[in-house]
Amino acid sequence: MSRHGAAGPDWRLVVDPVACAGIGVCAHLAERVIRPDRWGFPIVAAEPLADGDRRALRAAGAAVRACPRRALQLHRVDRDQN
Amino acid sequence: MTTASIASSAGTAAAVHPTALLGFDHPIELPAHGPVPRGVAEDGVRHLARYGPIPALPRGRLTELVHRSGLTGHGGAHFPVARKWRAIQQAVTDSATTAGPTARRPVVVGNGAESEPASAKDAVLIQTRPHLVLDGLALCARELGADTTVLWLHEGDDASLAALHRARVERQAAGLAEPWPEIAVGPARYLSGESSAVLAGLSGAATLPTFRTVPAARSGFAGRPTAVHNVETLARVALAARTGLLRRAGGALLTVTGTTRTVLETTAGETFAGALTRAGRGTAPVAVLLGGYGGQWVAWPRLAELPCDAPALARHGLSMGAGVVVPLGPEHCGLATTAALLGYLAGQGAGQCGPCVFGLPALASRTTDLLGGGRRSQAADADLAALAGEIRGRGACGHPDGAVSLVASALSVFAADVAAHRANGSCLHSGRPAELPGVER
Repeated sequence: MSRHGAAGPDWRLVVDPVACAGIGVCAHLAERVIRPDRWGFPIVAAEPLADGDRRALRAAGAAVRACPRRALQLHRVDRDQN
Repeated sequence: MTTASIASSAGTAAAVHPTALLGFDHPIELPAHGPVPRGVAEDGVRHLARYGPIPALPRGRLTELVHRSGLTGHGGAHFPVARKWRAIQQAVTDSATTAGPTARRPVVVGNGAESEPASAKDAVLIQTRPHLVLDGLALCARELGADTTVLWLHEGDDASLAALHRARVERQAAGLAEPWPEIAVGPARYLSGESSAVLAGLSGAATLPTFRTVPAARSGFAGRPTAVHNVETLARVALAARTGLLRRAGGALLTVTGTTRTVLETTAGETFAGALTRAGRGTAPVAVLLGGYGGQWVAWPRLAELPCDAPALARHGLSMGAGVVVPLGPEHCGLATTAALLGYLAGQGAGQCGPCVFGLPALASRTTDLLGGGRRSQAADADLAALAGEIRGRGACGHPDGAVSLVASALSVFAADVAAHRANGSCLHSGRPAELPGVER
């Protein structure tokens, strides 16, 4: 069970560092879960996003969709592997 | 090598040397840098006399032997070989369930692209024991049900290519029932031996590391389950099939740097002190850079009595990496050497991932700043840990993590040097970096 008690899966933000050009749109759209490093490349939250954390998930999803390089991905986390 | 003599046998080869399993009873002296002089390859007849034929093992038995031996990947990552194979076997099973008869057969890649400029052990192994490498490749293919095998080399490594080609022709003439291994070459660059770069190169793309979310064991070359194994790993698979005694025998091929380079095979339980003595490095070093240029510094008193054995080192939080051993004498400055190595690593990146492209030159210049003392030195000292934290784990491959590991270990092992440099810009030693293959001082 996630911390928020929801039944859905947890999610993890993943950056494809080869595709990423450090444009920085993602960090603006999802401040809570993505921060830029000193060169402007995204550092994503190490912790998986709980399914119940709707605000974080909405922001992360917006960041994924907005990336001009398609470098940001949301991966499902299987709980039994976690 | 006659057809009669290659008949499979389930027996063990009595001729296997009891301690030096790859048969390097004596250290091999090489020039301090540059290409490895062409070795004398053991032909099929002598290979069979030493090791006997490839034993016929029931499917699954080799995975078991390899698992019990504790064999890990000698290319540097030391991932357990049996675990990689089980992932491939699982991927094949899964694919058979969904795709039936069109399921994709595995591929085995032998990686001989020895990219660490200090390392020479893979070239020595290929050029003197090509049949042992090819035995390992064939055994791995048979165990995994692979119908395609590839040997991957740096372009220009003509001596290795010739040795493998001759051995391959010999095996075909002897009628060995094994896939005919394709030999492929990639650019002679530092990252051309990185396994995702190898797979990219084999597929016809640029030989550069790629970002993978699915392991090669599930989907590698042409989407097929793929094992990429360093050539020493393959040679040890060939030994495991014959003796099953690799854990007790342990050991690794090391390349020790210095005024000459020495390749030696460590024997069961041999300590680093013993290995360095045998390599002719009589004077105790201050510290040793272990694994490769992206490895870690270890203070000599900590390392001296530890065995040269990957699983034993792992229990002490250390890695054998690619078997490179750089002894640092008191006449050289470890910090200045680290700064020079970071400059090298920064220049060898693939230029793809931001944290590596910007982070590695920053690490190199911050470490150089440490040397001079004064304000710059203090600022560098205060920033280095944060900088390392911003780089670690953020590349498509392990290259930036290697640089971080190098600098983090230097800050700890050479803490007294850092303090002396920061206080007054003066070195506890000569201030000179050690001379290392490929690295500008």
